[in-house]
Amino acid sequence: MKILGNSYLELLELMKTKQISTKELHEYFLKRVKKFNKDLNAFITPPEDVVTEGDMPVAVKDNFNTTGLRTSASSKVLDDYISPYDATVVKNLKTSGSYVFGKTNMDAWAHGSSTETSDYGPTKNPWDTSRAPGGSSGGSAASVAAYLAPAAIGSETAGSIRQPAAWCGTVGLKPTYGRVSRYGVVAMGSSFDCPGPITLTVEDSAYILSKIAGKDEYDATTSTKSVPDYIRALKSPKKYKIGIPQSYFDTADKEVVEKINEAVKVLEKLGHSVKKIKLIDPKYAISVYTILQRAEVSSNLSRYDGIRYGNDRSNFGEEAKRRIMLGTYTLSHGYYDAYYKKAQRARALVIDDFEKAFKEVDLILAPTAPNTALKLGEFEKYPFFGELMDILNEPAAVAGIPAITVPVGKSKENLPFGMQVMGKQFDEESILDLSHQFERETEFFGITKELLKKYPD
Amino acid sequence: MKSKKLSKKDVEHLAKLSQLKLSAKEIEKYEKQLSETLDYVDNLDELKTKNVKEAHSVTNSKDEFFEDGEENKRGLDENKVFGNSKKTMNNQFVVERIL
Amino acid sequence: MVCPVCLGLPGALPVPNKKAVEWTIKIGKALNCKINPSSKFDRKHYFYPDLPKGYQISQYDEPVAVNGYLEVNGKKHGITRVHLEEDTGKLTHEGKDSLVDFNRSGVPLVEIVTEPDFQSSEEVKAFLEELHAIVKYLDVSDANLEEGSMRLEPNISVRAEGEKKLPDYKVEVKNINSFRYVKKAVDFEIKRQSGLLSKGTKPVQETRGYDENKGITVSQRTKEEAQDYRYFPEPDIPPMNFTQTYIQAVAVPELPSQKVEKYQKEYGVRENEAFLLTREQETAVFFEKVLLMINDKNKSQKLANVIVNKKIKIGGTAEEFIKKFEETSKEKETDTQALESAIVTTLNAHKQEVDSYKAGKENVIMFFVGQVMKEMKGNADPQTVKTELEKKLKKK
Repeated sequence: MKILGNSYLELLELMKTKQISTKELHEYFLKRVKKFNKDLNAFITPPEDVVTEGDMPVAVKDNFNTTGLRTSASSKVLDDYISPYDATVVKNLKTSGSYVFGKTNMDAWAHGSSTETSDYGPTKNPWDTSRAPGGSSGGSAASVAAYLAPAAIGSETAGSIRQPAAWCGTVGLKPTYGRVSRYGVVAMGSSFDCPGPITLTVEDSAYILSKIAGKDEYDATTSTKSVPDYIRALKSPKKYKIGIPQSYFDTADKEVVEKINEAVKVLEKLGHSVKKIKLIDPKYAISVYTILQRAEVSSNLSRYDGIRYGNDRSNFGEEAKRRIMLGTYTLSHGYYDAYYKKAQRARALVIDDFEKAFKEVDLILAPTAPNTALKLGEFEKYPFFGELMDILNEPAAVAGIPAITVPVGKSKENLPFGMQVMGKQFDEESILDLSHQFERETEFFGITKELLKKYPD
Repeated sequence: MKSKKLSKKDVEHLAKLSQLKLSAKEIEKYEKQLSETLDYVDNLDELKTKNVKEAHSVTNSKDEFFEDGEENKRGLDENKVFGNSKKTMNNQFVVERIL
Repeated sequence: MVCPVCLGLPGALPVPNKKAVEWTIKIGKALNCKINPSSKFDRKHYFYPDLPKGYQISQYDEPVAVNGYLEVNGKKHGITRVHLEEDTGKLTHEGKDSLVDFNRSGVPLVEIVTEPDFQSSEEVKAFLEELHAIVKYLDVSDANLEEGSMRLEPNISVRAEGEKKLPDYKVEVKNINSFRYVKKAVDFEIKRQSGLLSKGTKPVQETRGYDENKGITVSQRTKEEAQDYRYFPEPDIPPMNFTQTYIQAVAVPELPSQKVEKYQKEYGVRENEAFLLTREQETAVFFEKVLLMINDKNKSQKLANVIVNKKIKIGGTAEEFIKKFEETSKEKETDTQALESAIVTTLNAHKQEVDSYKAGKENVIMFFVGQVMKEMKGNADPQTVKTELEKKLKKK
């Protein structure tokens, strides 16, 4: 039975029709992990040898609390932490028949866009192991790209799902803020964090979203809006008005812009209409995000004192310390108005800006990242460590709107890059629909299948 | 924009407020890096934010409460509570004497 | 019993308890406050072992209730605000270590802040006792000072006589677990601060602990810079909107002071007994119930007396109580024959006093009443005795 390259839903079908068993599937992926993880370092806590409950393996980012396996958020502060409870997302996956297949590497505390700030070594990009996979969900993206797991759960505060998914040539979805519960996710930016799936196909993404989304009584910020049948929505494709914001293309590499323009032509051929729109320059979203996120980070990391669990604060890495201090500064006496308050006001402007745009168009399209995977170690040269790398992701994060990234092309160095589709709050159906139509038309130019040759069984 | 340089004293004060111990080298490094970040975020002054109401959140959620049920579904038993702690005594967590 | 939320475990999130919010409004209403139509929570940051998240969820600029008052002994004391926050864990000390227990961490705590308008320790004590009675009437807390379910933290400062401005410092005193100690602590502070001020030294603005064994206050914090709490709105909890309908629906029962007035005006009970009856809601309710059943307002003061002086215990049912109550009234019903002979015996034994009475010394009657009561071994109603004596003496 050939398993290699099958999507999560295809494997689920094989299991339902008894063509493979959970044991076989588990052993299959475990073998691949044992073979390739030492080079990729996608998993920092490998999957258990034997699966005791559940049918389908899903790799989970290490900032999700899991009762069986350690939860460290890739930080030495939580080096030996075994959580006594499961995150709601994990609980929901288990209820729907999946199980936690190992914990994936990430930037420590999700602070970063390259997975290089992990206290357990960086993850390598499966496309070119001298390069970063992106971050902070680098381990999750790499595990799916190299087919070490059929799907993975990541989290995004601003770019942490989309950017590594794009740099690794996979599909990554950041749902609307409040669509998926944050209970049990190590908090980074409380008003930004969104758990979401990283997969090989759009249908897989829709499926997993439908299993993890919904109101959670343990998370007061989750929405009471009912969860639509995302898979069913894909079966009745619609035509959309797509907005193209020029300011998002100005900072992107030429190759990226070219390929996206080609993709836009494909969409037009499929019957969608395209319109140039004007959005606030994303550089302002960076400032809003930088201030608010770091303020929340400085607060959320205050609980780590080593008394009830974990190791003391001297175990924080450089990036964590940097962010904590900047956050403390912007909240401190005398500076609150100039930074935090101002950023919250600017946030309102960004939210408004998107609301206005969505009166003219249904969806907004842009490059996911301005560039392709950087070489390991290059990030250090950039001011505030790669925040600028997420420039195109930060506006959606600031506004809390959903966005998906799909592979759209490769650079001449054979590195993949992605195209992102942003939608109105709680309109995941439309962004999934458009991406699915694009996938059916182009099969993502074979990008999601290419690495299977590099990582054979 | 003029560089809003943080002084060594500022960084030391921040470290204290954040309960972080920094080496002299780190203080110097952070002085520069944090100042750079603060310079960048000054670009918000280019936006008209004076009369805008703060967005405390991206959602319009209000009045989300927890109602007590019959059973406490999240209660943890002793070994779960203390299992991750380095030092406990008499079912309590131990720290160096305060006061 | 602890959970991930009260332990501050990674990934845990807070959700405000519905009843707790409702009860905060209840307290605000009972204290004549304005209930804010919109209210929110904020994070208050500081590091301490009993604060698991490194911040306390509290309310900064949009508390649940503001601008109320509580009238005690004819003086209206201002209530600045009533807000809801979470409690911390409990820190105790043992040898070289400090121990932290998180059982009460995250428990809802209502903070009531008054205006600085108390002029004496008596005022403070009386106010707190009234507030305590109210809280118990509202049935929102055990309000047990010893157990810590109600905590008293007076802030004291002293100014020169005639000075109208508030002093520019204040000293907070904690660890007071009785009303008696509150008065002592305030008195001690007034004395201590006055002593310093008369030497030209301004008392340090600080938090002090009350030592009940020594009857003094002791400085609790070492000299520290003022705390920078870095308040910001709690992102994990959406804001709250209280509609007029909702606020009106929060029921506040009849409060002690309202009952005190009613007992006096409607039942003719004296102020002293009315006050004592209403210190505990159970007692007041029982009194009202029995009075309703007896259906005789003339007996209200007597009933009040009986209850206040614990002449009959109020442990059982109202019926049992009424039976005993009627009995004591009956007991005073006099045996007329025995009374007749007791009067005759008494008057015959005190012929001199009888003459005095006839001569005009009318208050001798009380002496006779006493003697007759002695003769009757107390089994007579004094009023009846007096009346019968008067009748007899008129005849003689």
